[in-house]
Amino acid sequence: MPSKKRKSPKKNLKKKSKSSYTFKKFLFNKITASLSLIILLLSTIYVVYLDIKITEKISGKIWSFPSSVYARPLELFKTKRIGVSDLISELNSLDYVKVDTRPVKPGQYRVYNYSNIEFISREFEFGEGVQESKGVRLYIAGGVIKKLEELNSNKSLAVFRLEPVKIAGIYPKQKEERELIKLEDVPDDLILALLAVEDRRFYNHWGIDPISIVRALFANIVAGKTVQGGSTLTQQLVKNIFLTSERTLVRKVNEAIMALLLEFHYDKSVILETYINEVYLGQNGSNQIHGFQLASQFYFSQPLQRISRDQMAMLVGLVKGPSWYEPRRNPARSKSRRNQVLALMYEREVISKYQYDKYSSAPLGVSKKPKLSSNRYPALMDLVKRQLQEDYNEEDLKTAGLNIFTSIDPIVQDKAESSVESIIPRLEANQTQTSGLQTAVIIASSEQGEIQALVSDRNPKFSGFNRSLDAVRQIGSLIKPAIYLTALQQSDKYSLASMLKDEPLHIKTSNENIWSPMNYDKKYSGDISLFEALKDSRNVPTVRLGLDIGLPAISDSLHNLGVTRDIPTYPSMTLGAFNLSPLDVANMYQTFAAEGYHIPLRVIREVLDKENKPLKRYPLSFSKSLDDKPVYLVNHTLHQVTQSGTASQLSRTLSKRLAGKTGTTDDTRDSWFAGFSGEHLSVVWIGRDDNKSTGLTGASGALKLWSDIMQNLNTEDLALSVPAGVTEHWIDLKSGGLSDKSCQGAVKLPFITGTAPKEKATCTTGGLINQLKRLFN
Amino acid sequence: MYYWRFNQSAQTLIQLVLLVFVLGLFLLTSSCSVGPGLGSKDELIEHVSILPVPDSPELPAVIKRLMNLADQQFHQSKTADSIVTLERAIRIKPRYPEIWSRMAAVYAHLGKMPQAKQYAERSNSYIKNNRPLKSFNNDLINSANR
Repeated sequence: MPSKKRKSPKKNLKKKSKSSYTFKKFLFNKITASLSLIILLLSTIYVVYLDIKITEKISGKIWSFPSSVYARPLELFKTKRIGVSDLISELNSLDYVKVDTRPVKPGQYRVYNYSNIEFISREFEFGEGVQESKGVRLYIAGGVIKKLEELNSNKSLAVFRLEPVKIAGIYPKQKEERELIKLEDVPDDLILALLAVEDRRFYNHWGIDPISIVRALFANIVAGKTVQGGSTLTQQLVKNIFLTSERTLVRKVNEAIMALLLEFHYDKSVILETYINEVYLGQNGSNQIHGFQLASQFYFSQPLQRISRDQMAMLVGLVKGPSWYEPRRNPARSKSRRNQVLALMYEREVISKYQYDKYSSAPLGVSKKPKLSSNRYPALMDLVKRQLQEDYNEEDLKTAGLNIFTSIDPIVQDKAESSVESIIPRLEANQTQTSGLQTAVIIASSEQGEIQALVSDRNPKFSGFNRSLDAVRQIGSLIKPAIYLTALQQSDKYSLASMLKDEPLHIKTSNENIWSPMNYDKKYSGDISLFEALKDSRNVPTVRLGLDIGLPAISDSLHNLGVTRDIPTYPSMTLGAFNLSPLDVANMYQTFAAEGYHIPLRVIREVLDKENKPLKRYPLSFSKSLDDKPVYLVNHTLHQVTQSGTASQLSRTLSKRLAGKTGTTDDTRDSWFAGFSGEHLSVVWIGRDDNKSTGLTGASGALKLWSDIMQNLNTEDLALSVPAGVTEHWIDLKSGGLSDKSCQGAVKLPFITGTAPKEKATCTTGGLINQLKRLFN
Repeated sequence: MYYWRFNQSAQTLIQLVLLVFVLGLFLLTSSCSVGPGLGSKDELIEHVSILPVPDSPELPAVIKRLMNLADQQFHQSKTADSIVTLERAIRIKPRYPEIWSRMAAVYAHLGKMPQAKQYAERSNSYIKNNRPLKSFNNDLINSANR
């Protein structure tokens, strides 16, 4: 019987060890497999996460677009009043380039023989369509356009509208600016140049290009430094949109995965178009310039389709380092880089040898750096934003790329600002006790109520408390036209010839005090006509009149004139002892300027979306809130205020027909003037923020500034329409009776038909000399 | 009884005659109030389209040009653009009643009669001596009031 072989312990151990090894191997394999599975699963989740991130971003809203705020487009036509310097200032604001010979490109102008201007406008898309670029020639003499014609054909032009100046942008936190361009509108040469320099195998890879990576590696080893990059356009785009520029392995891996995913999901044309609009190409102050279209505007003041190949080469060269190759700061470096790009274009047969030689010797041709527009008119922009916020939320304003067209007139605004900067210090210098004066100015068009200019600080560029909108101050005598209007509406009781008592007056107030209003000169004139009481701004007759017609009636009139605030009804309100802002006052006087039509003041005309499609229009809207006849009587008197009343200095300083009213408050704390011409309505306030005395009356303070502004504006004469049912009669102002032209002291006044006085005044001729004087007057 | 029946029939007859008379009177007065002016919306459209830009030397070339452009836009059914162009004209020369009147006509065409009325009234306030224009405006105002 064969004996059973005993297993040797060594063998046993070996076997045991083998089975342990197998187990370990099994365990190891299992763990490895599980780990691999987990890693695979996590990687898949991560890739899916990246994929979602990419598709969400690219298919959704990739960029935020700041909104652009535009000034009014300047209308040019024969008989338009504009100085040569004003037009040049407008062209400079539009970043037009002055040339010495006849302009040949859009955005160029020249001035010759002092008063001839030629320019070629740029194409611009208005709400109602695209306005093509056009060559225009003007001849301006005596501040008026005498000739307006086409530059090439010499054909007379009835009207030409310049493109509007962009005065501000409404930005998100990160100030990125870009103008979108569709791939089909991008010049082929730019695409060829870009691909030649940045990614010559763009159409042959799937997002990453191993050949380019090897080639770049080899080139860098040979050069001993980094001279070439291996990133494709897709990788660059991924980095720009999704990643940071940190140089880590993780970032590189993410970039590669995302590039592959991007190529998997999107067509090459989508990737290229996105790249062209995304790439960072420069800096304008704190604003980043993104995309080739905006870069073309920024560096050459031309759309991308209009620039030459050498200019395209310069833009493509900027991709490598927008700051390092910045052409305005580093022209030599930028030119050298441009020529490198041109060499590559020649190498890739995008341009010929002849073109290469020609372009590489050309100057850079960079335009003047555009002015920073974000804070040019801070107070006006505050008003624009407040009016916009009634219809748009803040997020949309900052990111939706709206184009906002306003009535802001940079010529008027600049003149108002320069008047403020010169007059306020002069007023302080003339008044030894006055310092720390502040001011607010509002200028609007008389007939349409469009705000053209707004100054809210003696330093107009200061962005802070907006006095024009938010400083509510007592208005003093600015209330008086509303009181006289209320009275004249009661035409059976009052006319301009009605007599009022200018005698001491004591009124018991609600708290049992006695209020005794005084005239400014502390004198009384006995009986005074309603016309003279308003013209000379007499306080006591006004209070009497106000109390007679009733304080609620005055409050109603103020509301009909456009004041929206609550008006207190206590006796001293008749002397303007209640608060309004300069904007409230402007709204009130606008109704006088528009002859009884109430037009709420506005600054926005139209809002277009990013693609220039109209979103909302703000058309001219008005309502007839008052009978035009009593309004005419008041306006006639307000004109006389500027001839022989409290603002008579205007008749000496300005040879214009104007109307207006001075306003001064207690202890000369506030100095006001509100007035209008046939073209402009303007309200000026001067005072101190601490509400202390300024020592200035309406006539010695605000009127000086108002007068300076109006003089600089070369405004149109006041032209009041005499309404049907108004007739004129000669009146003796001392008695209020009918008079004759030949009688001494006779004044021609308008009356609502049937309300002229019946009684005749005694006529004294005042001698031959006085008669002759009246004849010639 | 017979008398009562007769009386009732006569009463009915009288009522019927009265009704016909009142109805006729109503139709007569309403046709008179429509008159030869601007009655229906279609008539308004026709009126707007036939109003020519005056060839008056007093009307500046810039206003004629913009009014012609506004007409062109109007006939291409671009009424919003037409309003924008007329507003341009108003900004340039606000005291020409022809522009305000044209604006009134465009608003009337859009069926916005309150605005049409306001513009027509404002046009009237600038008219010195232009009877046809005043009559055109008054027709618009009357239409708006109806």
